[in-house]
Amino acid sequence: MRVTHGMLVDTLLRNLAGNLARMERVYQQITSARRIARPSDDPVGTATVLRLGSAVQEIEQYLANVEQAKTWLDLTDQALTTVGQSLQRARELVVQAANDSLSADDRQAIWQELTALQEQIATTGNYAHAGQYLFAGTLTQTEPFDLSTDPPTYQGNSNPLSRLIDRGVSIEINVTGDTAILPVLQAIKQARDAVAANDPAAIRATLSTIDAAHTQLLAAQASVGARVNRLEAQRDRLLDAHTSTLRLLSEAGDTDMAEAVTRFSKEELTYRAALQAGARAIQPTLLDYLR
Amino acid sequence: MVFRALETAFRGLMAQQRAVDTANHNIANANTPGFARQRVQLVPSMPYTVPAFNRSGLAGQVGTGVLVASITRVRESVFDLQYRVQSQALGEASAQVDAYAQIEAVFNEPTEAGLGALLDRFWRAWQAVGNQPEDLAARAALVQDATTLATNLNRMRRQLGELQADAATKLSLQVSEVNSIAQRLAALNQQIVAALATGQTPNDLMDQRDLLLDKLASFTGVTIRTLPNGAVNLYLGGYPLVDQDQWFPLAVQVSGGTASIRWQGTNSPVALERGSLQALLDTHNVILPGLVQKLEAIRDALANEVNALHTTGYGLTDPPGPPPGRPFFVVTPSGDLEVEATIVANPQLIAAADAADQPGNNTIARAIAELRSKLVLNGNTATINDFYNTLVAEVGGASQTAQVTRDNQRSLVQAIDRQRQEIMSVSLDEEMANLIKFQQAYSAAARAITAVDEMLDRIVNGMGLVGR
Repeated sequence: MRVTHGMLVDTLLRNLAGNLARMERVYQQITSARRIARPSDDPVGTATVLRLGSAVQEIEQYLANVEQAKTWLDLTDQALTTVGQSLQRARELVVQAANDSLSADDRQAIWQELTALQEQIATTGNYAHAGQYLFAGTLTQTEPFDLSTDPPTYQGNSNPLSRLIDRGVSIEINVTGDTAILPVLQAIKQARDAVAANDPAAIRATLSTIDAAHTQLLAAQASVGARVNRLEAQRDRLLDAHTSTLRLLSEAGDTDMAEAVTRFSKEELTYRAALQAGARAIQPTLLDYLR
Repeated sequence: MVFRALETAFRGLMAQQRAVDTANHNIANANTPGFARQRVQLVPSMPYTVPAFNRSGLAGQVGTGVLVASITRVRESVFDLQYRVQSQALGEASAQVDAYAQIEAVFNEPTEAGLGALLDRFWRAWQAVGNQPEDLAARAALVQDATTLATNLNRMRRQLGELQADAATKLSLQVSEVNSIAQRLAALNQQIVAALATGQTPNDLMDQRDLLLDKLASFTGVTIRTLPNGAVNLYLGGYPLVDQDQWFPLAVQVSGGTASIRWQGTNSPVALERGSLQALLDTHNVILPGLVQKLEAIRDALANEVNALHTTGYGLTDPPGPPPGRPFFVVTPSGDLEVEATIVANPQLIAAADAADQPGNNTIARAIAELRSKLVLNGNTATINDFYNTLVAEVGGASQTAQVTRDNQRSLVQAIDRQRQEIMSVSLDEEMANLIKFQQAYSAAARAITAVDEMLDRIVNGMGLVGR
């Protein structure tokens, strides 16, 4: 084979350029910590990275929705518990008022406490979270219970508030005031009227109304609890999916540092060797040895 | 007889000098692209038969020295042909690689700023509005994210259009380079034919012509026919590009978004073979319009699907009654996607609810957020995100294929060129050795002349003086 100086120089330049290009590629992978800089580096990998990245975004949004829904339901649960305690106290008072031995004055005192309780329950029904009334249905900007009337009238509607917690899966996050709180207010009003009328028989009769309202309240609370459980299960599932998707994303898109650094060292070694060998190979000609 | 010896020595002197000249020429052109080293073909000159009526009493034929028969190029034309065939494919793949590198830059994936991430942000923003339909901040954020998405979609469309214009410009530049090469080839043909006609070998002109043919090959394949008089004719699709000392210019014509290369004289289209011209035509006429079309499919799917739901909904301030039918996106006559102007001005008008006067109602917002997973593209088999991801993967795949083809083709061209260089490139060592060889022979011939001179001196001045 005939080799000339021009060919040596060409080979050297070509190989140096190749070395540098490979070094640059690995260098970019190391410094950016990403395996893929352009789609053509790995077209299938790029599609995978895009798809998984999108899935992570989707999961994170569902997680945010779940957290928001859970906050709402937790607040609803607290409010309903407060209402339940007030109702419990009201029932005790009504039972006390139904006692034949009580005087009209005693009943008057009970009536006053019942009135306070009724107002307290209505105020609880007007709880708001981040400027949105919990118990007003979709009329979240309208105070659900009008305290200027007796008993307070319900001004919300009975529409559900729904949140997306997964692809195609929604959950209702609200309890409307007309199903859970309005019967309580009405029952207490009925009891108050009977207490005001100083009629033990009528007072006793209202106990069943109070109990019916209480049952409805408990049903609402139970439904809230069930929904919180469902949200917690969903959150766990989403967190699992989040973790595994992130791991897949990292496998598809992140640089394997140990491997990349090893490759870089190898390229560097080749580059240095090529420079050294090249410097020595292209210099001498016959001219150096002629007199 | 002594005078013949003088002539023989003189011929040696002349031939060696020519050989030294040629070695010099080779050394001077050691780095000239396309230069093939030249060799002096030395042959013994016609021998002299000593005349006699019968057999000569003297020994055989007498040598009369050396002649330079020719100066030839050391070159294998078979490698030239292979080199050009592979250059065509290299030119084509290189042009594709360049085009796809720019297209990939337009897509800017996979990054946080790519359209894929912006689509995700857009869908998330609808969910955020769904979570708090009363919240103006969430609505304003949605308007922002939707505007960013639309702006970037428009930017990509516009940049792909600019790349198309770039391709047309490149095409014009390359066509004018092809024309210039054709013109120079015609001129070289003329000079070469003239030189050959007078019995000379125009080595350097032929090297130049071969170099131009090498260059031309990366633009497009041409049929080369060498004529008996030494000219080469070039044909494109059966029509002559160069016919001896004539050449026929090409021109680029862009009409209705389609570029074509035509013969300037007849305005009929040129049948191109592979090469960078064809690659640029494909980029301009097929690849870029195809990508723009797909982006427009994404744009239309976004606008149509979102609007179909949005027009049935109510903003925070919309009165009861039939829905106001307000679109969320509008597509401008120039094809840009924009968020509806009244919504940008007043995000309360985003229709998150399916009933009026229900600030907590998020039915429409949820439905729009769920469009993310609805199969609306590619004959209702792909979501918008899937369609886009596939598009990016297709671009990446095509780009990768072009890169692999280019790299392979480059290795092939380099290997062939290496074979060519083995034969034709100048080795300084070799030329130095030759230089010394011929220099020594020159000195020896000069010495022979001195010897003859002394012989003549002996005859002319030293003879016939017996007894003087």
